Amino acid sequence: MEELVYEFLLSGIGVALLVSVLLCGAIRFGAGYDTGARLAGLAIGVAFLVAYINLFDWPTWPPRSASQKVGYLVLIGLVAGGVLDWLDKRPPEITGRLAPVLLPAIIFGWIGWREITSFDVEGLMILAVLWLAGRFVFVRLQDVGQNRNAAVGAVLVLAASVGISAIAFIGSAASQAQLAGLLAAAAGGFLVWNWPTPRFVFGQAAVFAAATALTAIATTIALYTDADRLAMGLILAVFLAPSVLAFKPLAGKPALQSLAVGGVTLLPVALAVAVALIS
Amino acid sequence: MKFSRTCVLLAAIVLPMTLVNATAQAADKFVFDKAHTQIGFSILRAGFSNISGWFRKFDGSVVFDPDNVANSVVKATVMTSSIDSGFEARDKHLRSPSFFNVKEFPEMTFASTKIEKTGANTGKMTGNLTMLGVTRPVMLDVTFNKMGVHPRNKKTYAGFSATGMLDRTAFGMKFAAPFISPKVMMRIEVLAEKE
Repeated sequence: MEELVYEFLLSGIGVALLVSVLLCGAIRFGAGYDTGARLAGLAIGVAFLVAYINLFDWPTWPPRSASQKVGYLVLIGLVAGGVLDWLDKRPPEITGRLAPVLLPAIIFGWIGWREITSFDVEGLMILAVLWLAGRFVFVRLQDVGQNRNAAVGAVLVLAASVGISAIAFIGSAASQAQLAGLLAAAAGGFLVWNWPTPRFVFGQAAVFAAATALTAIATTIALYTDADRLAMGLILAVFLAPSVLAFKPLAGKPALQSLAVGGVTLLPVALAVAVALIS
Repeated sequence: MKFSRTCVLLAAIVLPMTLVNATAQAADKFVFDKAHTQIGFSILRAGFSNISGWFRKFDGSVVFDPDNVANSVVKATVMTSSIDSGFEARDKHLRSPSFFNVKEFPEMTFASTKIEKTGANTGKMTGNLTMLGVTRPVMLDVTFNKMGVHPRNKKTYAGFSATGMLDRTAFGMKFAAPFISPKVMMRIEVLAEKE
């Protein structure tokens, strides 16, 4: 396990966190007050990919394994969201509705093509559930992206990634735990700049890259590891946490809002990890 | 005249067929005796000690020509989920996507491409190993131990030992390298029964 800790802390999380923090600042100050704040969310996807390459190397085309496909999928999500942020556009109504449907479908079609082409009933059922889950995550992150408090989106991604990482680790899927850990660190770097005072926008690049990464990592774990699937499902409850923002005492207090959302996410994460440990 | 021409024609057809048949007979097919074959590996961890293990499920065959070993062909398929390093927690980790990724890549295959004789009973075998969906050439030093009739069951067997080294990272298995060495020592003991 020492090798995992070494790889996890130095080559993985450390790199993702450092790149995310530095890149957020560089984008903000390099691109100016408005554009910089709008594009800073790119740092989450870029930091994830830099750390991913540092750990696994960029896979040659065509990628062989599901873990190798994760890199390409996050890149697709990052570019798609980055273009929308660059053009300063939210997805139009039609693509806004289509993206949460299509992106998870692309992820499952590519990663789970064996289950689809072999008509493996169990695999197809898992894929169907994952598609619904991926759609849910995407829609919730899009909703959160409209919130002026950019820290909330980062908190959700951080909490979900930490939970997935722990469940994967308990399920002896160390490299998937690493992948989720990279995303957690990348979101953490964005959070450093946005708590207690929100400064940037959790824009389309952040939404697309984070939702794609979460969905792709969860799919590889559900299909190709022994990690507990019920525990993975419980992590979805993390994305219900922003409901707490409806409480009036939190209005106009972004630092408290982020803390409250973070506190609420602890419950499903702790429950999911406990289920993974017990099962 | 017509008779002798027919004889020449027949000879031209039959003789090559006989030669082909003779070659086929010279190279007999053997299949792995699973009870007495071991496909093992050993890997250096952090420079301290070697961790060894083996695969419990596999299939394989040897088309063996003792008179001309270059004619011989070896094929093997290993079920990656059968990995056994003698410690269940480690085996779970070895089956995960960090290492053998057994749910996505349940099989590992080897097919020899070239066998050269290097001594009276030794040789070098080159072949393609496909692991994690990646095919790379590997070389094994092979010792031919014995071929003969078993004293009890009267079946014919051939026995081989093979050793070799492969770079796991060339197949995309990069987890914890070089802390866990990228070089994997292979040690294979084969008892094969004549079909």
